[in-house]
Amino acid sequence: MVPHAPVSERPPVPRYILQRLLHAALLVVGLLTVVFFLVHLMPGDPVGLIDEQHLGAGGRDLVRERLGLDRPLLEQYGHWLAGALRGDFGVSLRQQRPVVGIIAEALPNTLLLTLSAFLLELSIGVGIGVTVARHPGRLRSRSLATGGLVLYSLPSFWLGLVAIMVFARDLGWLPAGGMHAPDAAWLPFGARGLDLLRHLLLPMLVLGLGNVAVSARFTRSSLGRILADDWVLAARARGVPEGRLVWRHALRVASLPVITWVGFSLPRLVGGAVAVEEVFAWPGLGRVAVQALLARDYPVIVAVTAVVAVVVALGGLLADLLARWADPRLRLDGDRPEVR
Amino acid sequence: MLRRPAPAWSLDLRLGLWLVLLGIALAAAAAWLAPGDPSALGPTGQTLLAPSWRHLLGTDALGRDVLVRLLHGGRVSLLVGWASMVVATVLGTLVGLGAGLARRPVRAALTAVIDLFLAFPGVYLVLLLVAVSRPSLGLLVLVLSVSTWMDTARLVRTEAMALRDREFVAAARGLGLSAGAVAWRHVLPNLLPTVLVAGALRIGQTILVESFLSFLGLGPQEPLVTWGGMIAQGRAHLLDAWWLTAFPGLAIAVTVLAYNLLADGLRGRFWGEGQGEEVHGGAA
Amino acid sequence: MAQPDLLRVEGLSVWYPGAGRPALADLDLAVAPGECVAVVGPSGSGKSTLCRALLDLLPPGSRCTGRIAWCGEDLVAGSARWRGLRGGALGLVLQDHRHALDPVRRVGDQLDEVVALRAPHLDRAARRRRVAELLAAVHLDQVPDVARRHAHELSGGQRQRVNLAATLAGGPRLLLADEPTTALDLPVQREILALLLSLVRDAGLSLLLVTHDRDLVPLVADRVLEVGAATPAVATGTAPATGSTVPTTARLAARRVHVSVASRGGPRDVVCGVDLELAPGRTVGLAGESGSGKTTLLRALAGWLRPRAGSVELAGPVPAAPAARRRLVQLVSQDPAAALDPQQTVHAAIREAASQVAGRRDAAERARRLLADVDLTADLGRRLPRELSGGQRQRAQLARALAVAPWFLLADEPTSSLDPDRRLALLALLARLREVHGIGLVIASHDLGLLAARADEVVVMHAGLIVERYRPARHAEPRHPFAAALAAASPTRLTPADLRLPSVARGDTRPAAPGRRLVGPGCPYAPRCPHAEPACRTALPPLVEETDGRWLRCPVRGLGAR
Repeated sequence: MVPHAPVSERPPVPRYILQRLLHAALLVVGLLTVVFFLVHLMPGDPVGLIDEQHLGAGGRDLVRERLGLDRPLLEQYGHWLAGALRGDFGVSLRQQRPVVGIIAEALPNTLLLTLSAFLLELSIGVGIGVTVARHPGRLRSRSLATGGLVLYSLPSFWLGLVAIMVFARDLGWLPAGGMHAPDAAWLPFGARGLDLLRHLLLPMLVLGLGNVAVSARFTRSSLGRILADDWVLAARARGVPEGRLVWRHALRVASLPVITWVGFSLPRLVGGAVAVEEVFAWPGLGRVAVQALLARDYPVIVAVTAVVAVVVALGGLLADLLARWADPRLRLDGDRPEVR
Repeated sequence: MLRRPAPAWSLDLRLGLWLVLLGIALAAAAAWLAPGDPSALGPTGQTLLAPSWRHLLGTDALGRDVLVRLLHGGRVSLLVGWASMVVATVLGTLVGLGAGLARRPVRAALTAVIDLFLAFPGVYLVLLLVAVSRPSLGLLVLVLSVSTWMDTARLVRTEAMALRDREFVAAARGLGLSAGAVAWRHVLPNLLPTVLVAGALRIGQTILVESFLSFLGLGPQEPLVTWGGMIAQGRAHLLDAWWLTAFPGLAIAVTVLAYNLLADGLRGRFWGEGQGEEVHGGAA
Repeated sequence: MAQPDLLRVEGLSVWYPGAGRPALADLDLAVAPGECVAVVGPSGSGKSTLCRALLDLLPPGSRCTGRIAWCGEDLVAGSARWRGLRGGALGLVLQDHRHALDPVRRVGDQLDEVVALRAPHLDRAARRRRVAELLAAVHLDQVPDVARRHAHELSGGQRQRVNLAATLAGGPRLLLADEPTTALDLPVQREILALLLSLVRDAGLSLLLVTHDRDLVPLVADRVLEVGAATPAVATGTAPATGSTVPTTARLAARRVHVSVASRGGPRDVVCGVDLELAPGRTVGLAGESGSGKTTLLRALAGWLRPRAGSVELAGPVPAAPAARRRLVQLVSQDPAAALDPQQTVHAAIREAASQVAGRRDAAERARRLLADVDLTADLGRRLPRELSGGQRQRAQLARALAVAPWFLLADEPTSSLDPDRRLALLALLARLREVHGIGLVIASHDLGLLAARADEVVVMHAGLIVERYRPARHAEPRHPFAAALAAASPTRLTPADLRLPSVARGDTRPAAPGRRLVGPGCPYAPRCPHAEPACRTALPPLVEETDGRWLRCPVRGLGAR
């Protein structure tokens, strides 16, 4: 007889990963399908919106033919899916080069901005969240929470403009936009890094500070729930000091779902970056999308949306895998609550 | 065990509610408070005037009063925000209920659709859809709803599934009620707090997206006035006429803040302080 | 006699933030060294609040007046002195063993932390020895590797022992035990209580035992303190006016029913081949520990769960429509708060149920009469479930079940949410319903004594199996070792000897979560059974009819044995 319930009753890891990979493959096909049908089922004509000046010889009909818009819908779908799965999203109408190249250049820039802003958001947000969870109702907590909510309510493109006006134009401390100074290519390596940092600072601050409230809320609610648990009361009754209790014990329990949460937050983070990238001329996917939209560069915008969704979805799956690997309690979640 | 009893009308709730009502009242009375066409050119020599008693918030490059345009711009934002919230909430609630309660194949299919849409950052979906069709006001509402309904659907689904396993739902089935009656009379009413809080947040978020679109020149077109469009026009005068950018931005911020406060207040009223944060896209 | 009291409380009142009424009003209390004082009162009378107040652990914003003194010295809220006592001389044992330990840290590390707090000069090896001593003191030393386990890998009794060890680590002089045994099975309750008492007596500690269980008090306490006014019991009034008579041909039968629930390792049977037949006007008592499959079986009988194998059959003049069939078997849940829709008033819930069998106007009238039948006033009917007490909710649930004129009523631990004073009244109400309308009744409970006094037939379940069926009127005592243990643990039967005996010496080495492994070949009770023979571990004994008419699943204790 086994003396106690063994811990390792979860399904073997390789099978689980296999399941997830299959899931991922289905997800990619699904996302490409959604993009295609959304575009084709919305009323309107993308080519009709293109300005005459962007049209080459032959006009709209030629563009339609090149994009395959004159063929039957299902054939277009098959063509699109087959191309997209090979990484072929067609050619940009404006830049006359493969869309994949444009996206490959922009994706790392978006990730850099998004992740650095997220780290900033998390470090401030956790601090606020802990304060609010420990001292609910105090003036300090209320003002911190309200401050976060105000920042969260500001339109980030506007906040970006204000930041440019103050820190770039008036004070001249930081560059107003872009990712590198014009002469950056000639700078030594260290100076180039510093230059990148100077360019990154403002967009990162605008994006990160705006979302502090989200991290603060997450911390507050998970920590608050845990601080109300009986084991915390028991630990207090055993004389464990309050600071140690919060930072060493409760926060550790609270931080376990954070990986899952990061995966879950990816759409919010990547989506939030669009406006900031546009205002600061940060050459990321968001700016590519907006510029393509303004130029009515239809293949680019479709491809960017599809790629962003795929990247975000795969990131979410990865986070899910990591969380399972890291959190001993997720094993238990597989078990339905026992009927008493 | 010892949940802190939340005051029924917290400061958040009262402030949010008052600001929301004030915003609606101002937007409704805009035509009466500031009659005439807000997009008509102002008298010559009146361009780019700084805030003064005559023009409380100054004038723009075409000599138009900023305050008047601000009042009219609120109408578009609120209309778009509320309308897409209603469409997205109805759509999200129906799909979410189906994904939580229907028979297995339907449930799985609807869940897959929700999950697929959830992978899209909402802004990209909006940009994609705007690329396909230059939106009229109605199409804009449709675009914004199609891009946001899935958040509500996810919340409703999660909660409907939790409710489905609750004993009172099983008990209602046991009393002989039909599945539809159980969904309508026992599941939906218990979902209402979630849906309301999510709806209030949705309005604020939609207004932010709409103003960004208008800022890019992709929103409602002239002669309709939009706050985002006003900011875009002020961008050229960032240094010499700050009021062109500052006031529309503040107007957006206060409006969005009002709905966020309202959502927070409702949350506190329904679940007590610090509870129910999941609605905020917080805890997974 | 000049010895000062260890703890002295005078005029203690506590208000929670935002609450108008005090949670605890004007309480006086004294505990002398070596004394055991029991604090008794119904749920909601402020017993847990007292514990928190004594430890200076009230939620922020609470107001507290009165005087609390330790060894004659007044304690000031928030003072370092009080904080030093907490976890040291003043130890707390909490109610709910499931949540009283950090879920992600090993048990040994949690104990180690407390030891390190109290004795910072100890090095790692010395601390480890101390932890081992503590575990031995609570008889956990025989459990392999207990220090390296997480809380969820321990059984309820084991977890409560770890809590006790953590409290002992501080070297307490006074133990506050807040319902230390409520969430445990009866036999385990007895073990824990005996352990607690032996620790207290051997070390000369004082004990403040908070409990709602009056049966325990005379066995443990030197002195009793009542808190909260006892509310009058339900009037056992006239016969219920509502309901129709159940046809005498009605039968509800379970045939070889297996029910499985989803779990980590795939589906798992929690009910394994149960046969049962119910007839109108009869009461069947279903006895078993938590986890024995009682609730699952009742849910399958009520049609809430579909059996994996076997069938549940309803016979008699049964209507054809599935919805109409469903309502003929009503389940009254163990947890009335969960079984009532939180946003529906009690009257609306009953009316909704009644409208399944009556027209709109009749339904409202029927609901009114049902409310009166279960002794709820019209004013209470207009309230939401959360505005009612546990007992009121339980009666509301009962009225709702009766509103659809069922043939069979399945009551799952109907008295567990009630204070002892009200238990008898509710059972009397059930008996009345059975007599007047001929409803067939099943009462599930872990208290075999209670069932034996009321049921025509008692069915004892263990690990998803029926281990014994007997008629209390004919057979005085159950014979199966498990059933006998359950009967002996019934609160109505406890004697002081049960609690003083060092029955705990062997320690609680049972597997976590009893009834989890049902696939083993032998009798599921064999590992705990004092009469077990080698054969018991290799083959599951069949349920056979004994010569005296009882059904028994135990070859050792059977009449034909040896």
